[in-house]
Amino acid sequence: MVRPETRRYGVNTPCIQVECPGADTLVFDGGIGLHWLGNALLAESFGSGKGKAHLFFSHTHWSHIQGVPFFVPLLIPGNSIHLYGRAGLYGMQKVLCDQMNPAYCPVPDFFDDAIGAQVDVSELGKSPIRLGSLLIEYAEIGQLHGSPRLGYRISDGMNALAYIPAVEYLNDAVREAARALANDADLLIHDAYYSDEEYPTQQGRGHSCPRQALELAQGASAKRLLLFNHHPERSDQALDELANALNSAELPVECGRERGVYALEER
Amino acid sequence: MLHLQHLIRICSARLSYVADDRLVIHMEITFWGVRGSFPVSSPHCARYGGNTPCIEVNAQDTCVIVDAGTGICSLGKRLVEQGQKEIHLLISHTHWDHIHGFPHFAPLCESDVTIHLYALANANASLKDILCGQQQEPFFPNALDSVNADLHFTDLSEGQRWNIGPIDVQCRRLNHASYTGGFRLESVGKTFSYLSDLDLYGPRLHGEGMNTGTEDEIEQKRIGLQQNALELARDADLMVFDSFFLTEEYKDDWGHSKMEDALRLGAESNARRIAFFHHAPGRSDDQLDELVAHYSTEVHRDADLIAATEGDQVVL
Ligand SMILES: [Zn+2]
Ligand SMILES: [Zn+2]
Ligand SMILES: [Zn+2]
Repeated sequence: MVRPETRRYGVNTPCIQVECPGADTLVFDGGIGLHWLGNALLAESFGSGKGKAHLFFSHTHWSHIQGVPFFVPLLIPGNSIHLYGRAGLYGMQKVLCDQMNPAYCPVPDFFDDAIGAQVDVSELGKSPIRLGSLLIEYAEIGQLHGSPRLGYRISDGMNALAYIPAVEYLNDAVREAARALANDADLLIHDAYYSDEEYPTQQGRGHSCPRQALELAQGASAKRLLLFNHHPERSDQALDELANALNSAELPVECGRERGVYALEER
Repeated sequence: MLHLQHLIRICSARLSYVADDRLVIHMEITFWGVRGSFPVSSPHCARYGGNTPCIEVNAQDTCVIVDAGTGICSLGKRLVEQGQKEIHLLISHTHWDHIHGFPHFAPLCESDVTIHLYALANANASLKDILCGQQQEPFFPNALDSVNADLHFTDLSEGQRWNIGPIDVQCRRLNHASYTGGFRLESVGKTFSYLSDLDLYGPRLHGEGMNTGTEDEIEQKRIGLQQNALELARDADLMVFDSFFLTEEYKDDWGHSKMEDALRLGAESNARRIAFFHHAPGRSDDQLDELVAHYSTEVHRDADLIAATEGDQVVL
């Protein structure tokens, strides 16, 4: 059974879509949520092989890539899907191909040119990515056992969104990089895997807590905070409480909710 | 049907007495994950459940787990609570949905626990290498070769038969991609058959190395694979079967069976109870209710038909 206590916020692993008029489909992270997004996209141009999507990964732990083999637009010839991320020594191409190894995965290998969509993989280096009027900036916000983790900032000259789904503030460089991404953002989506009470006993595991998310939001003058990357055991009620404890008129705080839509208003 | 399921739920005690006062020991089957492909958390499957395959088999305090989908996460917590020190895990094959719960299996953190893992041998890599490949950077932060539990890996040969405590176990290859095995577990005169992930009657052969040789040789392999399924399921008290497809959805290149195939094998093998299993991610609770009701009228003789439900227990 689906545990009733997690029904409202949901338990699919991370995937967010950013919609912007006139822009290609933009997705951040490829957790299980990506499958259901893919199915929704099939009703649009992706069903007929005319879709264009850009998918950016924060890092390559399973919970952030495990939906990729089940993203059906990848199997439809004509679609163009560009994957971006940084995987250090391993390389994104190898990491994503390894996931498709036939010992693990029965899905046809869409990285093969003859199968499915046109799929490109880019290892993110230093330069921001420009897609039409959108600027996608990124920064390494620490590493875990040698695996880099990226945070993103998506802006269109008017509004800005910062996406920092997995971070632990172990040094000032990480803090600075995160602050730059979140600077003056209309919405900050931030890791809150541990509760404030749990965090002190879980240091070094690569995640942060709501208090740290709030500190970053305040320090960077972000306008709104969305707590994200919830612990699988966290109940709906516990999530309500986390957000309520931090919420204020100056800086609204909520917990990210599956299929929730958050609009950034023109300034 | 409903009446029967109700009975199953209340008969959950491990030991019970029959009329002549002799102690009878049961085999207990608990479904921890029943969904195929990937875990689903939508309201459409709230009742039957969205976790990927994991079944617990208990006989005389011997704990055997079949498959390590996400259902194994909750089972793991319970095993740690109850202090289970010896755990046997049978893996049908190493597709993600059958192993991706394993890194989150709580007994891995216990230094006084021994976990025995078994899977049909893959010619390209050992079970140990495949599971270590899943559980290391850049995919997962805690490497499998540094966990506290003691792990023993066995790559099974085709048709291998061995004992786990009071349970006689048999593994045979099935028609599914890569190297996929089905299992037959027998104890105290009861039989549990696990056939998840196979295209039993489809036109294609899916396993690695299955499509080589002359037409005749390939035909022999097809017959052999169907025979394997039949042998595993023969006179089973419970047969769990890959029922991923509806008849009209069936695709011959996916390696999965249709619900009607479960009934056909059930009749051929004289299984007493059939459980639809490995439900497609989009299959709703209401659909499953209707399908069970529909196919119940077509089941052979006095056999029962159920759709496997997360959290339910069946006592053989
Ligand atoms: Zn991670
Ligand atoms: Zn499967
Ligand atoms: Zn499979």
